Amino acid sequence: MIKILKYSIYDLMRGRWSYIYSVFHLILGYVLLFLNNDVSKAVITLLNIIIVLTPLIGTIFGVMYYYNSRDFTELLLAQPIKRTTIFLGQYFGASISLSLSLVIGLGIPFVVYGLFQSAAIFNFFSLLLIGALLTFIFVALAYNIALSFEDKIKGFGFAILVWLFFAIIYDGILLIVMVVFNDYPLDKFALGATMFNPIDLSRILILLKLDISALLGYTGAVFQKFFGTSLGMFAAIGLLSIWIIFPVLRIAYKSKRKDF
Amino acid sequence: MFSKRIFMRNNIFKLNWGTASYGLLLKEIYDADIFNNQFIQNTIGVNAEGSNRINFENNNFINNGWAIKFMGACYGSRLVRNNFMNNAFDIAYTGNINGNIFDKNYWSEYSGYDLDKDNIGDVPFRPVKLFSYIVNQTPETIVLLRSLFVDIINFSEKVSPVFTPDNLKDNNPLMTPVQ
Repeated sequence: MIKILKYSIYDLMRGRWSYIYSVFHLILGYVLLFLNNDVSKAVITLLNIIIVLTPLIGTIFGVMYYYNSRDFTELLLAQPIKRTTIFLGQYFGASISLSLSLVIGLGIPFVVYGLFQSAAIFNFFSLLLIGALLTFIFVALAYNIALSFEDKIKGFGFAILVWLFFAIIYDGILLIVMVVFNDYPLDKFALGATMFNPIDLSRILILLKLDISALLGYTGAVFQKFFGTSLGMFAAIGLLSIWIIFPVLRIAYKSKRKDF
Repeated sequence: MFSKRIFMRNNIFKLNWGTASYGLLLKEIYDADIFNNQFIQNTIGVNAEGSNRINFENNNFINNGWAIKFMGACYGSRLVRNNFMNNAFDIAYTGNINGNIFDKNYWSEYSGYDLDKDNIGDVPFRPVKLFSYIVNQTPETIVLLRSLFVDIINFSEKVSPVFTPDNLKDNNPLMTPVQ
């Protein structure tokens, strides 16, 4: 598997997209820091971008990579290599190269602008960690979708729909449910509902670390009580890991049974 | 609380940052004048409840969570020539407009234009965002703060107001901050 992983990382490094992606982050980081020069404020602005863009790019890139490397996959399948090895190798290759682009692209400008002297260093690293986790989650979901649909267009459409659901529609549904059940105590519900969406969970995790968490009021206090403890933090990271583990298991399961 | 004709001038309300902190809490205050004060980094800059005929002039509301929260039964207040800069929510409001006046304030979130260069924006500014209205109705929805969906509904409400009070607006928003 390591060999396949290595090959797919090399393959992606040779391709244009991971460069474009990291250059995009590089420019983004420099522009943000150039405009407000304050590392801790830039981290807050970065939050919105990481939460929306990394899942989107992970989804599109995952689907694209699967469909584009189909010929190579078929060639590999003719060799005496286990199927799970091939697909998991490709999946990890794609997600690792995307996460690397993210970490390097955003890391360089922040280090240049004096991240290590700033108090925001811990927030910045948790932001990068969450960005990387989101990349792994959404590439895994995209791979699942691509494995399930022969048709490229269907696969793309469905993948975009999944991203749309987690990034926007889920929040809409949550908002409507909360407004309708206004008369009931909703704190526990809000806590539970955010757990089932990796994007919401990451957003709350980062918000709680920032000053702005005071705005969350009583509900925020419930969240803080839960995520503030080490148990809650482990639970959150564990939940995000579950979002990686189950799709990966399904990739392994699906790839064994797929007809080529 | 329960006082009449108070003058508050040249005060600084700063860094009252916490889940239950206020810069200034007005309850049953009548005919007060609040001039030239600074409200900086408070969770809630001013919390007004049952307070009538209060004049806010030349105040600076900077980096607050909520700049001013009108909780209800507030009649005939005037907010003129104040600066609202970088607040998460500028105004939270319940109920009707009740004769409260917003005029000639500077709002850092104002995105209109000024064609005749008289320093007054040509498009009225609506300080109450849809999300701030929803949060007032259902406080728990605050967990959706900074989500993409909230930005989208705020934008669509800005384009065509449906839920927020229609006449709660600043007809003459300034283009540059009041000195």
